[in-house]
Amino acid sequence: MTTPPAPPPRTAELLLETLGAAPELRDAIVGDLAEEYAWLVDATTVRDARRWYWREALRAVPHLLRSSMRAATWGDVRRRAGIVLSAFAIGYVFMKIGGLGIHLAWRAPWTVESMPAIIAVSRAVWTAATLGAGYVAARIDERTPLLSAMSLALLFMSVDAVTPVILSGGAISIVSGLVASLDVAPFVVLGGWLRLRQLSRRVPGST
Amino acid sequence: MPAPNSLELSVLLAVFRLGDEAYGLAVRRDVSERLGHDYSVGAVYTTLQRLEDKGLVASRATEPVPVRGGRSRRHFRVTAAGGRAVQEAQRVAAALWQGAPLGPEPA
Repeated sequence: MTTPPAPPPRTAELLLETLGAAPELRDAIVGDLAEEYAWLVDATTVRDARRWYWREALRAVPHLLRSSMRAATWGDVRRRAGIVLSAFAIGYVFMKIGGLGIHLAWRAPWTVESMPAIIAVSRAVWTAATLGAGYVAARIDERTPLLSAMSLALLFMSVDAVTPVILSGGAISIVSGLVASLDVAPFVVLGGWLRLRQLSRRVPGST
Repeated sequence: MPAPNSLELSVLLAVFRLGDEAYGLAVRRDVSERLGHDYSVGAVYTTLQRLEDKGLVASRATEPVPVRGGRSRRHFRVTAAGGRAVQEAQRVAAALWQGAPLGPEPA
């Protein structure tokens, strides 16, 4: 009895399959990578082949994203906008509840001694809210989970860029808002990534 | 019809050379070996798609292949317009090289 060949990394494969690219391009790319991966497993080691697969999968992402944008219909855009706004609202409500909890736990006036704890808890609430929102967006969107999480990250960044302008005005505010949002977007995308990892474990194959 | 750019021409010639075996993986290996550059599978398929949009190649899907996880291969062939584009590119290259100094002989 022969052992079946090691399957390609399932998370990477799922990443390529769920970017919303045109099916013929998606299948051609994922199929080619699977074929070359099987050859590499025989020629080298599973570890090297997996490393190669991940590298090639990441190199294919921009091409699949471009195809996805071209293939998107007005219905796709509306569907994704609905998902992103829902996840944004959930994240926002979570942040507000967290903020209220902080105010209740540390009543004003805040002392210098309590500030490190308040900052740490605020940061934890903010991280959990953004991570959770990314996960929720990806969970609602079973077809293109990471794409929705990435769209949500863009929305968070846009809100962070625009809010200081509304509050104080000035182009410098846009820059400071965008810089501040740079530590938000990765957590939102990470939330989507966690969902993708979860999905990859549902089907036979390795992660 | 716009002339193919250099990568498009390389891919088109690879499809010509490979004949019935011209599909993404084989084309990528051929072009990468000849040009000494590791092209990504996405770059090769984007180029093949552009060539197809220009009518220089045509494609067809095969039966599902087990080693590809049950996905089919997409085989390409050069169309008559593609053949003319290759001949034209060869004519232009020959005209450009005509009388040009080739430099010293390699040692």
